[in-house]
Amino acid sequence: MILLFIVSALVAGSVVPVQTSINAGLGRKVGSPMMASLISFLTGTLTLMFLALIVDHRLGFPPSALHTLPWWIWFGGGTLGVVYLTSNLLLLPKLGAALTVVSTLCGQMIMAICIDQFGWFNVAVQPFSLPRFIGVVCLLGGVLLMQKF
Amino acid sequence: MKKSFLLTSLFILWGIAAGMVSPVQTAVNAQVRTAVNSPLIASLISFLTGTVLLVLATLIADHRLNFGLRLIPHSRWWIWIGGPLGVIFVTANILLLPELGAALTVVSIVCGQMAAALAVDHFGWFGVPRHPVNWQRIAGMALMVAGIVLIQQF
Repeated sequence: MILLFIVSALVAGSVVPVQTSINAGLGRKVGSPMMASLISFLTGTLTLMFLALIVDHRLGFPPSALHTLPWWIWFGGGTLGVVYLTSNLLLLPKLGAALTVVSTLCGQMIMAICIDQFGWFNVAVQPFSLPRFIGVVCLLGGVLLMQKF
Repeated sequence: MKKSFLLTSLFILWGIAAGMVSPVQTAVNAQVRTAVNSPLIASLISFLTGTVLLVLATLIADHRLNFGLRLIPHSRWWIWIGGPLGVIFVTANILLLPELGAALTVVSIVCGQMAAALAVDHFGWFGVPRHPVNWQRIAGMALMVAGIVLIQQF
């Protein structure tokens, strides 16, 4: 079962460079990276409206759900997504592709390990261990090798 | 020289901070998923708030919201599918986080990302300059798979 989830993650990840290449091309066409991000988010929103209508037969949610979570959670996901996307966009010309990928990836790993270690956001606790550390080093080494050559 | 070193360090710190945002976003979206009882509506909320924010950001940065509509018939169809691809990514993250945990989710997704980047570079798809596969890149890929196995086992 876990293998199936890992394969799904691999497939989901494979979408990213395709998306980046397409959005970079779109940015050149419309003459603004910000506009390209906006078009990307807008078409994504429309796609999700279709999907939600087909799968869930609804677009809203019961207002009572609003009180179950802290207020900032509701726009936190979208805001953080924009911060991530826009930072990448702005850093790429300053740091180059390799350094941008490696530094954002380091940040990602640090935070992911904290979330697992402390069980933040209701994620199951998975304590940090030496093999996990070696795994992270392997990942960073692999990314570095691929970016350098 | 010293100043440019400082500047690069600042940009790297910014990169690390931006990276830290990404798993938090997934965790936040996963919480919304539980509250609204649908991964798709959780993604929709995330994309909708992102769209609103980008409308503001674009107005501030570019002082306009329109672009040449002639672009639509004059471009290849796939230029418009970046958004739907982002949907796959965000929704998959929401679904996978509770199953794999944060670290394994990040590592597997990055591995898929690098494998696809290898292919895009090798074949020069989507107008990207060609960059053929070499043994260092294959070794890098193998190291990353080893990383997944280690994190998954322990």
